[in-house]
This record gives sequence, structure tokens and C-alpha cells, in this order.
Amino acid sequence: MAVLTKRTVVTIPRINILSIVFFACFYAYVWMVIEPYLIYYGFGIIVEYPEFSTGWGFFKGHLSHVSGLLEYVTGFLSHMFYYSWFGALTITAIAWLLSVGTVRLMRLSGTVKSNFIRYIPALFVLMMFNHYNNPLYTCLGILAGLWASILYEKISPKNIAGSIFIFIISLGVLYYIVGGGASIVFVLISGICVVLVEGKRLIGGSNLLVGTLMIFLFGIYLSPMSPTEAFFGMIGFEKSPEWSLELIPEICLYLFLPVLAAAVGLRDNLSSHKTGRADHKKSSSGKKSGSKKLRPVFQTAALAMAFFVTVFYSFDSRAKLKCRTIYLDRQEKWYGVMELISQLSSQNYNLFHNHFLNKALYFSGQLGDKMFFFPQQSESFLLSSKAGKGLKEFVGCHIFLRLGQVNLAEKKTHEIMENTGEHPQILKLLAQINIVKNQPETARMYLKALSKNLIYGGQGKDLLARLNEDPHQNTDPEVMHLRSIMLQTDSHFPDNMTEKLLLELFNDNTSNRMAFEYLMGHYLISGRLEKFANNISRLKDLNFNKIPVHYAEGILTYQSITGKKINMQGLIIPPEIIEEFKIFEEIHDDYKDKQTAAKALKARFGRCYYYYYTFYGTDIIP
Amino acid sequence: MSRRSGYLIFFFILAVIAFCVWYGLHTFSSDPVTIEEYAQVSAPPKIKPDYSGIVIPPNIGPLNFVIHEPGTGYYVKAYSAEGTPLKVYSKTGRIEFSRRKWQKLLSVNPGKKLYIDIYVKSKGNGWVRHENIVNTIAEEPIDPYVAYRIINPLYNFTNNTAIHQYDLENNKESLIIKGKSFYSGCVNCHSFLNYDPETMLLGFRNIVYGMSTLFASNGRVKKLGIKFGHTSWHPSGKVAAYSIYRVKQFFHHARREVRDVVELDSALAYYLLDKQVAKTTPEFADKERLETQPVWSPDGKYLYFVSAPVLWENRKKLPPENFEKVQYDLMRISYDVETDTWGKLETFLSAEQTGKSILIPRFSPDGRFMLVSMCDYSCFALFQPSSDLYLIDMETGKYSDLEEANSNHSEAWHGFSSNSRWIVFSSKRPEGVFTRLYFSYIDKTGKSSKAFIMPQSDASFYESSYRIYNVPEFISGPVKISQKEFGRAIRSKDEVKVEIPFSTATPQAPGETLQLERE
Repeated sequence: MAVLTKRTVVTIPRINILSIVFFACFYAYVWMVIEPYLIYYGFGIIVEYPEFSTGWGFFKGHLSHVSGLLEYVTGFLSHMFYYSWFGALTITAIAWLLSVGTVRLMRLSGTVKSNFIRYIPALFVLMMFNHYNNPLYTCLGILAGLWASILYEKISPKNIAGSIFIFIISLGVLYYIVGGGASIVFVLISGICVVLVEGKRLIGGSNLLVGTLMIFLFGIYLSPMSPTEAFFGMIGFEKSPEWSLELIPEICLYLFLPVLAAAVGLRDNLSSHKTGRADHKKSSSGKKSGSKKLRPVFQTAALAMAFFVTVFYSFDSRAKLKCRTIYLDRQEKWYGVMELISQLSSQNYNLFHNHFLNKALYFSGQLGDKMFFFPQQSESFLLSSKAGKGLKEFVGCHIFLRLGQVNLAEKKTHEIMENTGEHPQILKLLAQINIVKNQPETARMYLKALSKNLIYGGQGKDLLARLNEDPHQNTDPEVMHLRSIMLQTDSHFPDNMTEKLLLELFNDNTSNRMAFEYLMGHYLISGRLEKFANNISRLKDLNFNKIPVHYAEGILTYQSITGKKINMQGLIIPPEIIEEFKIFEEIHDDYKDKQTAAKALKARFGRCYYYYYTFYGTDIIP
Repeated sequence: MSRRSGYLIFFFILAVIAFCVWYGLHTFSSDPVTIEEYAQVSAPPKIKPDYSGIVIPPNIGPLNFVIHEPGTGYYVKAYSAEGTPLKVYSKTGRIEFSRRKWQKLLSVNPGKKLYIDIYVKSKGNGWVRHENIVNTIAEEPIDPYVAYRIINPLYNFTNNTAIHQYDLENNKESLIIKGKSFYSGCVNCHSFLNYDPETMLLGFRNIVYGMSTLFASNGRVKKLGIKFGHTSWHPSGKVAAYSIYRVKQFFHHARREVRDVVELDSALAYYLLDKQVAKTTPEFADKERLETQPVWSPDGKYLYFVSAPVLWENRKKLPPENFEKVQYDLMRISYDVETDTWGKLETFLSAEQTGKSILIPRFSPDGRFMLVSMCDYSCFALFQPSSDLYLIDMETGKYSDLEEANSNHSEAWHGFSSNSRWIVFSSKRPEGVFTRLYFSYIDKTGKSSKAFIMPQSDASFYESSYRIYNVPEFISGPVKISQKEFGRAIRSKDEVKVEIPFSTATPQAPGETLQLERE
């Protein structure tokens, strides 16, 4: 008589201490070191701006196209980077879900212990965010592909027709939600698992074939592009078509899970061919007991090492610095900008830092006194050349408005919007420009769009309410100031002619102090001392009650070279500056070799204009 | 995870998606309310868009609007002599009519008045009834579709150009082709043969696939090995006249309108479809003049275009000297399509007579009127705040300002409906920056009605949209050619080789190609 025994397997969830520690460290690192709010501030400048807007219309727009829902969620979560703790939580949650998914994937093939492998996707995620990119779209897509595969394994019926039917439905739904990239992950993982793990070659093979064909046909049918363009576009590479090392973690993450599924499946197959699955498990468990005590120690050490190696080699400190500078500039924390930039090594210092620095110096009233404490380039004021397009335009439009070139600010802002999208800073700036131009109806349009922004929506509504109360904003001091310096005399030359643009502003309105200081700074940097000297008399008109240090140094340099006197309208150069200049000249005359002189004088005079002029600007005729 | 819980999750995801789709398609219906007492206010209510005092086509989609009056409840009743009144209640002031009921109401009342009563409930004071809005439902329908180009406020970069079509009866927009699908290409200068959506010419240019013209006919698209500028089909469909030009944009540092455009050089040419050959003639390729914006008379016997003298020596300087004095004359030249022969060039209306630059001539299909825009100077009316629409009576040659349709802002890119009773045009009203599409009724004597903006399903659509609508063209139905078909043609290496027996229309500097650099 057959005895029927019923066995119930109860799985007690084990607390994986190592995993908790790993993800706690992961969270802390992302929150405290990467600081996701800095990624937010890099949107539109360093990385593409992820469009997101509240309201039904925006959501509806995303329902109408493939991967729209993934874009919508990516947009929402990306904007939430503004809150660092939440951004870190999002990134950690993605990494954790990838890790759990990896474990599940391995368990599908009977591999109970996943050990270190489970953390690899998390490390790839970390590497991507270490570059201050925004790989959320890719990460979420792969995550969806992975979990869809796991779900499919659980629900697929035994028979071929049912299995393929469920597969096609799942793929269709997944394709609509997340697009082609994640769908490929799903097709590969589920196909490989069915073939290699379950041994159902016909179903698995069919899934792989049908899935690939479906994605290919979707790509061709739904996209007006060529099949190749459509294929690469849908797996998310159309946005960064140029090859760079930063793409490696992304590609690795794409490949990792299908390769893992294949590796685990193949190992499983080979093992069961040799000894049978039970024996294999037995022997492997026997092996474990031998090194059981030491294993956690090794694991922890290996994991810690992998974590630190990943962090060390992939962290992009330059990108972080750039993002932080943008953040501080946006917050108008001028002293913060100066402090940050003063810590930079000369390799990391570039035109953008120079631009932000000069802006911070101007707004803290120190441009004429401290600008030569730092390396200077004449293009830095208006970013008139050399600069990278995105940052140049983004930053340029702000500075043009501040200077009073309101029309050119409007032009630049629209251009950046064409490339970037509805970035809240751009919407706010366009509203401000139109308020200054006394076009409240137009400003209202931009503020209404700003009101729908997840982060700046409240600010948009406040500004809109203020505009509704007082459409001309005649009581707002900033608006009134900008109107007072706004260019009134029309002209039409290109916006990359720094001197001409600044002169135009200053000639139009001689009380435009920013235009004056930038113009004088530009003359000093480019060594045009004659023009500099000609404008010194304007200091009095602009209510300078003392001569800025670098101006004084410039005057002394000019007088020393030309022997001409400058009318300073009663302003006096402090005697200590004159004394220092004399000492500089005396020491300088003692050296015949220019390089030796530069080295010798740098410690004492390296922050003086005449030092800059003598050793960096000697090829420029005054 | 058990198989059962797997199923549950799967169906949950399906349910969420189904809900999202349902919610997306669903529009909320409004509850009827009864107002027993109300106070009467003699002032009309503030509504946006302004749909008051206008003449509307009997087949237009719902004119949805937002009431900008403070209140906690809004009730609107739209009615006419016949049919069931439409009633909408809203707590926010957004008034969106049922499309089906709206169409029914209009369809039974052509030639009659449409009344819109607006009640606003204010806190503590009960309901207030404003002076009602009275519109007229015209007897003549409007063409059911309009095709146009959408861009963002444009300066130097174009990443998002697209040609759309709008179903005017159902307030639905659909895409014909977008440049972003082709490496941020620019799509422009769409032109339909006799309002037929199946036969069109469309220009495109981008860095990967170059610059050419797409010729769509009977569902297929061919690429022509030549780029057309402003294009006009001969009514026979045998010839397309087009402009070739070197047009440049520059920027004003201290004017309300930042942008300005000047043609440094231009000329006309024409393409014979059956012979696949492009030609020109010295009459409209004069090196001392700038000829552009051609249009055929409805009988096909004349080609009209605008032309201005070149007022500068240096053709490379930007902006050139005297750019603010460039005014275009309206010219015409007779043509025999059977023999491909041109007659004598005539000045039909000169800038000297009007004191303004005459641009974008467009005929009413019955041949009675020509619509033009006139502005102080320039070839590009939309960047000129002075630009207004003028109607030329082709029988008398007299021209008049379309006062009812014009505004204080730029008006341009206009066109007639196939029955000659409706015009569509781009206007920068009300704020002077964003170009929108407006319609106006033109009666048999040439009198226009107050213009109204193209209606949208979303009543507040225009309050936060800064898309620019231009180059509208009425069409008799939807363009059914898919983006995929356009894409195939754009990517295709096969192109119709066009014989061009002239080097370029206007002599120019060596190595320089006359082409479209900006529209």
C-alpha cells in the first residue's frame, strides 16, 4: 500500500546582515558623498534635463508613446534628487531590488547561494552615479526587465502555447511601459532561463526568437527611423551616441543579468549531466562546511574591497565640483563659490570656474580687488568663446540679463530651452526677462509652466500671484534695477564680442556698474591698458570712493610703461600699493631671465596685476 | 514568490495599466445645476480664449474656454434657435463642451446666432449672470483639417520642428512628421495641391540626410534631388514654383522683437513634374532684385510673387546696409502651362503705392480676392510687429486692411479655405511673442469678422503653451501618409534626379551655394 506523505516547506526569511550593512553603506555613500541634489543642479548643464511636470496633460502625453511611463517615472524620481535623502533612497532601492532580483534569478536555476554576485549590479549602479550622470532611465528599465523575467518564470504555464502566449502578452505590456532596452533584457533572461534552467528548449528558443523578432518589428513599425537606428535608439543609446568610458558600467549592467542567467544555467546543466543535481548540491554543501567559519570574513572583506575600489576608481570629483559650483552660484552663495574655487588645483580650474568666480567677486564687491588672485581669461566674463555649448549658454543667459543685455539674454535663454527643455531655471528666467521688458502676459505664460514644476511649482505660483497683483512690477527693486540698466539703443552685432557688448552697455548707461567693472576687468586681462586708462575717470561717476587694488596696480603699470599720467578725478592710490609696485620693479630689474624672475616674485607679488601683466600678458601691446 | 502571487502581481499590473488608459481617455461629465435666482451684470465676462462676437463655422469643434471671473462655481448655457442647449457646470471656470452635443447644436443652426449665457457664483452673493455672448454660426463650413508647422520660439537652433495636422471638427491634433525622428532635422515648406492631403511637397534638411524636397502622392513619397523654398503648386499639378534664397537671421539688442530676417539674395524657379526638370527665367531671377514667395492664380494663368530691389553692395555683411528700407512689390507674370512659356512681367501693386512691404500673396480659390500681409519693411512678416493682413480685390485692384481680423501684433502666414469664405493665419496676439492660429470669416464682399483662435479640447491650453504655430494650410482631409513612409523616403538613397539647367538663379560669389539657411 502506497503511503502518501504530505510535506510542507516553510521558508523562514533570513536576515542577511552583510546585505544590510552593504546597503546601509551604499545609502550613506550616495547621500553623503555623491549628494544627489548636486546631480539635480547639473540637469540641463552636465546631464540632460529630465522633463517632468505635474498635471494630467503631461501624464497623458506620456501614455501615448512607448516607454512613456518609464520616462514619466524617471522624470519624477530625477526631480526628487533635489532632496538628497530621497534621491539616495531611490538609488539604493534600485540597487537593492537589482540585488534581490539577481538572487531570485540565481535561485531559479537552483543556485541557493548567490554570495558576492548579488552585489555586482549595485556596484554598477554606484559607478554610474559616481559620474554625476543620471542613469535612472537605464537602471529602472533593466530593473523592470529583470523582475518581469522573474514574474514570467513564476506564472508561465507548462504547455508551449500557453507559455508563449503569456510571454507575448508580457513582452507587449513591458515594451509599452519601458521600451525596447528593458524588453531585450526580459527576452534574453527569460529565454535563457527556460532553455538552460528548465530545459525546455522549444519554449525557450521560441521565446528568444519571437521576442527578438517582436522587438525588432516594434522598432521598425513604431519608429520612423531605420531598423538599426530604431534598435539602438530603443535600447537607450541614442542620447549618448558618442563612445565614452562612462558608458561601460551601463553596458555592463545591460549584459550582466543575461550573461549571469546563461552562466548559471550552463553550470547547472553541466553539473547535472555529470553527477545529477542532488549530488551536486550535496557535494557543494559539503564543500561549504569546510570553510564555513572563515567564509563570512572573506566575503565581507571582498565586498568591502570591491566597494572601495569601485568608489575610488569611478568617482568623478571634477563633475561633483562643477555641480557644486553651479549649486552655489544658483543659490547666490558668493563666498561659497570663491572658497570652493580657491581650493581647486590648477588642472581642475577652467573657464567656467573663472566665470563663476568673477561673477561671485563682482556680486560680493571684490572684482577689482581680488580677481588676479586667480588665473584669468578674458573670455570668462561673457563666455564668449571656447566654452562648452551647454554650460556656456545656460550660464551666459543669466549673466547677459544681469548686465542689461536683456534681448540677448532672451535669445540665449530660448536657445537653451530648445536644447534643454522646460528647465525651471529657464522658465523663471524667461518670466523675469519678460517682466523686465514689461510684457506681463508673456511672463505669465512661463510662470504658469513653472507652476507645474515638481520642485519650483510653489515658487512659480507665488511669482504668478505677485504678477497678477502688480502686472508691471514697478515696486520690485530688482526689476526696477534691471529696467534701469536695460539697453535702450538698438544694434545688431553678434553676441560673442565681449568688449563691444560691454562698451555698448556702458555707453548707453554710464551708471551700469557691472558693465563697467566687467569692461575694466576685460581690459586688464587682455592687457589693453590704454583703454583701461581712458576709463579710469569714470570711477567717480560710479560712486567709487576708493580705487580698487587691481585698478591701482593697472594704473601704476600703465604709467610705468608709457610715462603718461592718468587723471584719477581726485582718487588716490594708497601709498602701500605704490611702495609694493616700486619693490616689484626693483627686484624684477635684477633678473635677466624671465622665468627665474617669475618664480622669485610669485610668492610676494603673484596676486598683483603687474605680476600677471609682466609674466602672462607681455605679448599684448598696452 | 508562489505561482499564485505571481499571477496576482501580473493581473494587478494589467489592472493599473487598464485604469491609466481608461482614465486618460475619460473626460469628466458635468452635473446640471438649477439657478433660481441671480443678479444681472451688464458687463461681459472675461473669458480666455476670447470667443465672443465672432462668426464660427457650422462644423467647428467645441470652443472651450476658461472664465476668468472670481467665483466658486460657473454655469454656462450655450443655445441657438434649434436643438438642445448645452449646459456645463464647473467649479474652476474651465468650460469644456461635449463634442457630440456641440456638433449637433451647430449643425442644425447654420446662419443663426449662438448664445452663450454665463453665470458665476461668488462667495456669499449667490449667482451673477453676465451679459451673454452672441456669436454667429456661418452657413459655409470650414475645411475639416489644417496642417501647420510647430516650433518653439526660434532663434539659432531648431531641434523640435514638426508638421502637424488638426482636425477642426473634433479638436484633435496629430503628427504628420517631426524633425526629431531624423537626427533633429528641420521640416518645412509644406505645400498641398488644391487642398488635397494626398499630394504634397515638403522640405527637409538635416546633417545626416542632407537637404531635399519630399513629394508625396497616392500614399507614396519620393525624394527630389532639389530643395524648394516657399512653394506653390500650379492648379494643374504639372508645375511647382518655388523660391531659392539666402536668408539670414540677426538679432536686435534693444527692440521688443529680438529677431529679424533679411534675404541677402533670392530668386524664383519652377519644377516641371513630368519632365523632372527645374527651370528659371530672367524675369524672376534678376540679380538686382530679391524675388520670393510665389503663388499661382487659381486659373493658372499668372504667377504672382513679391520682389524687392537689392539695396546693398556688400552681399555678405549682416545685416546689410539699408535693410530697414527693403520693401517688396507684388509682381505677376503670365504663363502658359501647355507650352511652358512666360509672358511679360508686371508690377501688380508696388510698395511705393502702399508704403509697406507686401508679402505672402495668397488667392481665394474663387479668384476674387488676394490676401497679403504688409509691414514696414522685411521679407519676414512675423518678426515685424507692424505686419497686418490686407485683402486685395482682384476685380478692382483695391486693397484694404482686414481691420476686424487684425490686431496690434504681427499677422502673417495666411491662407483661404477651399470655399473662399474662411481664412486661417498666424498671429502673435494677445501678448506679441507666441504665434497662434486664428480664423476669420470673409464674406462675399471681402469683409472680415473678428478672428478667433483655433479651439482646443483643453480649455486652458493656450495659457501655458509656448509652441509657435505657423504656415497653416487648409486641407480637405487628414494626411494619411505615415511618418514611416516619410522616413523611408528621407533615408532612401534613391532620389529623383532633377535636371537643373541653370547654375543658380542669381549670380553669386564663387563656391557659394544659394540655399535655404533659415525659414
